[in-house]
Amino acid sequence: MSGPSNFQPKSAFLKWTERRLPILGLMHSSFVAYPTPRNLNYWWTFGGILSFCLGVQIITGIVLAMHYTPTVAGAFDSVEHIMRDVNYGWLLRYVHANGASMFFIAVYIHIFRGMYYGSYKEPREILWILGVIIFLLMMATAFMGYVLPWGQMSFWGATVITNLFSAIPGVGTKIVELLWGGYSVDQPTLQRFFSLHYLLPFMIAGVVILHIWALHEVGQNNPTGIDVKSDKDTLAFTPYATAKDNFAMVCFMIFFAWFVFYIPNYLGHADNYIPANPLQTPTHILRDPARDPEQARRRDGDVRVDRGACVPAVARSRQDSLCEVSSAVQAVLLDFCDHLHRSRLVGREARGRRLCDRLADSHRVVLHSLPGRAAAALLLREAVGDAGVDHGVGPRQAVACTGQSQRLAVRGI
Amino acid sequence: MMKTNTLLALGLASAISFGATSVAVAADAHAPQPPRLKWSFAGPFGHYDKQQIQRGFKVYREVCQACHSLKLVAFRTLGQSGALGFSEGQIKTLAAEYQITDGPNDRGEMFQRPGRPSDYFPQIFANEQAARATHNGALPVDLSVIAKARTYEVGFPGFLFDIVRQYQENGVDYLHALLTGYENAPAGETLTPTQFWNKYYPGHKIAMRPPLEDKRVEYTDGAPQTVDQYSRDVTAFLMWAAEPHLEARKRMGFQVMIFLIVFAGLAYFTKKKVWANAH
Repeated sequence: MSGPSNFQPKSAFLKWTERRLPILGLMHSSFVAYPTPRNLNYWWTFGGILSFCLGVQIITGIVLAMHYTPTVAGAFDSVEHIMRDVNYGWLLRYVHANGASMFFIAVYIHIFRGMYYGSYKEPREILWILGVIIFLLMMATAFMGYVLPWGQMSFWGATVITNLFSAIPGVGTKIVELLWGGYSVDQPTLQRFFSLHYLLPFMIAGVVILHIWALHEVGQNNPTGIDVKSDKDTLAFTPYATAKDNFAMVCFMIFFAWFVFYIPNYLGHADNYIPANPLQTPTHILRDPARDPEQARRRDGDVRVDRGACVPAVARSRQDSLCEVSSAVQAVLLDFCDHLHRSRLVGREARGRRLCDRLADSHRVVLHSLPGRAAAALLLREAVGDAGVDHGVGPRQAVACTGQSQRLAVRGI
Repeated sequence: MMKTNTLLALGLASAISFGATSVAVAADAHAPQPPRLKWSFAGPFGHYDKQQIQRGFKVYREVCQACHSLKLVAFRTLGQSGALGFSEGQIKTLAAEYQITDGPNDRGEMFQRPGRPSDYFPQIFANEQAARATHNGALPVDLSVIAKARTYEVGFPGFLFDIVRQYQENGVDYLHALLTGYENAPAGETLTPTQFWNKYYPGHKIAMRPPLEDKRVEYTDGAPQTVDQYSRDVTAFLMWAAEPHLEARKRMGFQVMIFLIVFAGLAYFTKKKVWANAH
């Protein structure tokens, strides 16, 4: 579908180049002659808006990188140096920070448009998959960018998000150490995040080219969901789609400018103007330790020992309780639960009643005999005692526990 | 065009009055919401009141500076456009009042010299530990970006209205409330001799003693010498310290908005013209 290009260079020089590298013809067929469905509505303008966002982020980002210092001691102050002393530094930084949010607003609209109109369907599967890859890269890039000012939210955001990887069985801890470049979020983390934050946008740009390539190969979807049949259903990209995209983009820029110039810190959190302090978690990140032993344990610094740190809290506390009893008793308990559940289901089926009401009373009786969550946490802390001991159970047994307790959790206990 | 302008003005006016009348939702049960004050630098045409931030600077120098540093602010910036409006001579004199540690000199020693406009406000304490040691373990924070580093929760749906009304004064409203929020501890609450009860401080027990009292700082321009006025002035000064280019930002914002709105109009009619022959 890449457009029947009838591009004919006029000047001798362009003819000369075109015969050797037909890049102008490529541009012409992609962005001028390319046929777009006539009936595209304004939801289809977000592709162009997203290209604009990527361009803005890369340009402002390159200039910001000229003034930024990726060191634990200097990052925060260098951002303030940009805000105060660099010519239009405040503009660059606010455009870059708010631009990231605008990028995501636009990409969500773009994604939901694709879902609503079925743009992911045959033959656009690869187009969709490439879009998902772009989205993942965007999230990684934005996350690493958020860490760079090295404020409290940067530091604790980095801590929480990187710790998510510790939930991967077996290699989780290794991955987290690789991300950190050490045993906690520190100078190596900041420096590698800066490096990657500079690299990933260019990878995004590369995948965007593939995304557009795939799009131009199969042609755009349109609001009816019926593919275009003939030339009568399409219009040339330029001037029709360009003019429409241009209007939508300027409207988007008004929205963008409102944030940049009038409420530039609205989308951020005030805590990120407090320099990073590894010894003090922001209060709204910290939760009540009595109600959330999970977090209390994490704050106590033994998160690296705790491989299952990110298994949902309910399943975790059940696991903790279960690990206290011997595996033989566990097996009996679980078999008992399973048996009860199955016989109940069979009974209900026989009576033709709905399965979902009043599910798990008898299970609760069994599990109430086990220690509660806070008690479980205390027991666990005693059991762990010194760092390096993995709650006194071997990895295989721990994994088995997780599996069992997740089964319980799934059943709504 | 006239009609559009009137419409725009009406829309703007209604947005502003809506902002002024709607009440924000209190989300935090522990501390009451700081009252929203009128600030000269709020809104699309916001600018610093030079007299006010000069008074605020005086309050900072005579009161806050005893403990709180301002290490990201350089003396020279006091004379920038959109700042306090000091002349070059005034800034030189002011900077010279501060002793700056410089060096090492030819003998390899650090030495003290009077400040120059290019210097930054010096640190008050040698390091964090020294600062804590003299304040019963509490750290007097640096005030360079404090006006942007404090906030309070607005809650739904107030936070959405804040986008429309351009409310970005959470920090300064909180600071003013904090400075004026000292009161006696309610019955049943015990304070140590180094703790003070503040209505607006999260947890209420604050280690900073009430810094201001009426008539503590002398004003020569006739402004009331009250705790409330001191708090407003020093907070406005701290907003300038945190956001020295606010005036330039809002001015450029207005230009950009005008440009974009006109551009959007042109783009719309261009699109219409281009598509006219496509139907």
